[in-house]
Amino acid sequence: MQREQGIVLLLVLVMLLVLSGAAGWAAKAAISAEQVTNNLRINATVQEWAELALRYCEDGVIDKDIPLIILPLPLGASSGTLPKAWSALGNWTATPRQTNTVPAAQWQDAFGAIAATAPVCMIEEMRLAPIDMQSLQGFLITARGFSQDYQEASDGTITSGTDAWVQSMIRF
Amino acid sequence: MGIAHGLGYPLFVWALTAGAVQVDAAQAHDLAKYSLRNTSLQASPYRIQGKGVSGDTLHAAPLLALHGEDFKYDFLPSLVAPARDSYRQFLELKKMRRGQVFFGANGGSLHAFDADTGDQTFFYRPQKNLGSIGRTSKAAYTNHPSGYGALVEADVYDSRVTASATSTAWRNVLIGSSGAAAPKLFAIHVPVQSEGDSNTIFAPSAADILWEVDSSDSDFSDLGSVLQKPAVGMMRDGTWVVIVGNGYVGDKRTARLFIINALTGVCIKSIVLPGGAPNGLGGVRLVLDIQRQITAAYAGDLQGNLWKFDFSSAHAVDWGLAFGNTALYKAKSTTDQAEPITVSPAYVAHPQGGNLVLFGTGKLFAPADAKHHRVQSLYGVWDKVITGQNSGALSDAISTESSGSAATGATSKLVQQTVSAMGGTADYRGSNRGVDYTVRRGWFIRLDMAPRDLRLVFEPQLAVGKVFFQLLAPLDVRSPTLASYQGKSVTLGLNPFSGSAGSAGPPFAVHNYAITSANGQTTVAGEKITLRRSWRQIINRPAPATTPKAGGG
Repeated sequence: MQREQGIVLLLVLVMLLVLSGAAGWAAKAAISAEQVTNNLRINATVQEWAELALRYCEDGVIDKDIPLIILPLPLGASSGTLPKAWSALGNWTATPRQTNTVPAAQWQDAFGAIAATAPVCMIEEMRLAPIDMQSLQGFLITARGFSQDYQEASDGTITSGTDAWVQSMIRF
Repeated sequence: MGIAHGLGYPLFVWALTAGAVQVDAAQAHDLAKYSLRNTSLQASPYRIQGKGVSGDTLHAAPLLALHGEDFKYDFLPSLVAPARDSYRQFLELKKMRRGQVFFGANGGSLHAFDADTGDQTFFYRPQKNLGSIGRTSKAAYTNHPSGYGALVEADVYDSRVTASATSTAWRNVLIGSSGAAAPKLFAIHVPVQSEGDSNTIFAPSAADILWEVDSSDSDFSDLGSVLQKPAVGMMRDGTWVVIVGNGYVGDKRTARLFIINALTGVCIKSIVLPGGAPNGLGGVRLVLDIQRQITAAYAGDLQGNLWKFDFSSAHAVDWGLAFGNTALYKAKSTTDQAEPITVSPAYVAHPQGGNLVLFGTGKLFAPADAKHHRVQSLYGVWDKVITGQNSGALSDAISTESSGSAATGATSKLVQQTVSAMGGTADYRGSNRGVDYTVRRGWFIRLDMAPRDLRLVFEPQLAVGKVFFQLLAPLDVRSPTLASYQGKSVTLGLNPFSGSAGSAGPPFAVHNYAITSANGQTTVAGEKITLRRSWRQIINRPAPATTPKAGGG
């Protein structure tokens, strides 16, 4: 009977292995849930910043109380078509600037913290033909929000972090 | 050709058609110099004219030709592709020119001044007005209205010119009318050159007078005093035209609409209106389709008819009165008297198709008009015909659709709104009845509130989704106190579709109701235009280009 005593140790070792595996799995699951949550939070925040930049440019176009960069429709583009400057990533970093940056005071959080990259928006003029005597002005506005760790390569591809894009057309 | 001068005072250029004035060349030269306000000829042999460079100005609003209006002709159809494709380039050119201020002065001359320096750059006296030089030069001169009507600036494309990389075939022109003076219309080309050009000329010269027509031309024998702005645009056959009502000529003439070639002054068509004499057609409002071509026009006459002209065809032979020669609407007072329409109507697109035509009645140009005490009206009537489509069907006219008695005209098809003055204040109260467009064709308001004799003698304005009628009551001669010797003005801001105050009031006010327009933004009494987002979407990140593009895409 003495020979059977070693089984306890083995059993304990196996159980320990199982338990530590379960604990490890639980820890990993908890960490990844937190990562997912954090990603969702970053995404939502970045999206909100993009929306904020969109409203900033929309309000600026309508109120005309802040000097904004508005890109005219290029002479070569046919009237009535949607402008396309926003779709070339190089235009977002071009010199002279073609985008408008939301001032820090308008998007910092309650503690005064701001992200490394400010939200930006691009305003492109559209030409619209009126259907009656009322004049019609139209603008295509594209806005971007950036995460804290956002970095991009020279061709505009993301090397770290994320960004969100929203677009609207306003006419009045 | 009249007298024109440019490039500084002493070097004036002048040209007289033989037989225009019965004077010898030296006298003509002197008179021409005199009309240019040469002081050496004043007092002897001619009358002292005063110090100014022009005669007195009466009813002549100045026009600044600077950046010019954007007529959006880049939306023209492919029929006129060269014009369409070069229009935005032309807009850029217009932005680079130096401004010229034009105004017509009593004495029958049109003046232009450099907007930067104030120097007179152009002087023009149409042939028809040359005869008045003699009268204005006499010592026994008494002031006589020989001034100017409204001036309009327009862009027209001259397809006779071959455009190149350095020259455009677009022309910026000034179309003017005689106003209350001798019946005439004229067109002057305003040069458009950029500041950097070596031969930069911003002011017109004698060669820039494109045409002038007057009532001595057989085609224009019914032309009267045109008091409203001529309308300019492109017909569907590609012809650039000036469209103008014949104005007012006394008791013998009928009403007519003239369609004139904008570049040559040739009368393409003149449309006689039914109703006989005396009559006269007032201001014309063009209806443009989305491709910026003229498809129709609205205008009213002294007999209360609001006419629609159908230009939906690409063939000039088809142009004529809509609805089988019937008026869209006939404006009559409660006592069945025709209400004269003088100013251009306005229109807004109706949600169910067609246009809502906004107009009012009343006249104030003949000496007796101020003493007319009939109640006038404002109207908003729905023209159901889709913009650009043929309006030949008689049944679409409201004047025939009416089941009302002759006494009420066609008002049974309209909803009546009322406006009444609130006692002791300068404010008004308006009714707010709904207009059911399944059975009704619009609304009307009788201008029977205080002050008496209100009438519409200014074009209705559209802003912030409302229509603004600026009404005028001439001095009240029935109770001549000192205070009553001032004319009174009331501005009504109405929902164009109901004629009511609307919920976003207070829309009525006699005072402090300023419509301002600065930097392209319209503000009405501090109320800003609301944000109108057509759409908003989350978009995908665009793919990186192999070579990032700089510049505007």
